[in-house]
Amino acid sequence: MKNRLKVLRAERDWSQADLAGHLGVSRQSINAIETGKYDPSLPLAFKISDLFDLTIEQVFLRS
Amino acid sequence: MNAVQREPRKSIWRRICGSLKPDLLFLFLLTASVVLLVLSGLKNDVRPFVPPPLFPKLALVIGAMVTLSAIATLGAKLDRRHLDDYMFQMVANGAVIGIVTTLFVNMLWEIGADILPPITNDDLIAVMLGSWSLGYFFYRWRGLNS
Repeated sequence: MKNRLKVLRAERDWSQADLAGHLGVSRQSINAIETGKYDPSLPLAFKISDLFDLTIEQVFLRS
Repeated sequence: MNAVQREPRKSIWRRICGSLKPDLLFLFLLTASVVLLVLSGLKNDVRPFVPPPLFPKLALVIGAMVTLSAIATLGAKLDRRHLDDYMFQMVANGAVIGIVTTLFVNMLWEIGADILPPITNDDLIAVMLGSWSLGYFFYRWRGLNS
């Protein structure tokens, strides 16, 4: 599954650690999501979309 | 392009997994486990020394299995609550690799018992922990989607 996490993070000038801190997950999780190594769980996907004030579909795209 | 190439493989795998019924699978595994324990207990009877009674051994092993698996389940619940979902998935997927590898190693040694050096329980524990770690690092390297 593709996602726009890296772009959204860059728009806010956040590092992976910053975003991880906002979401309460490890930096490795953010890196794995951005590189497509891991699809987040539904609760985490909701957390991410809520943080950016977007819908899940606007953050995560079908590959 | 990669996604297009990977998709059919995922679909086949999903179809295979979808055809498995976890309840039936685990019922089968539980039955097989009890049968193996009973057979193992019966083997004790033919040993030259006086064996421990079959029932207490069965009761002890089954009791330990049920109790410890319940404790492990609670432990896994705590792990899931406190670990990152990403980490937990890697640990859990690595554990699957560890279990499957241990079963295959044990099977290999059963088949080649005449030509292979004997393998002990401790060896199998080591194989399980090693393959669990390898599984974890494999998923860490290649990602959970690999």
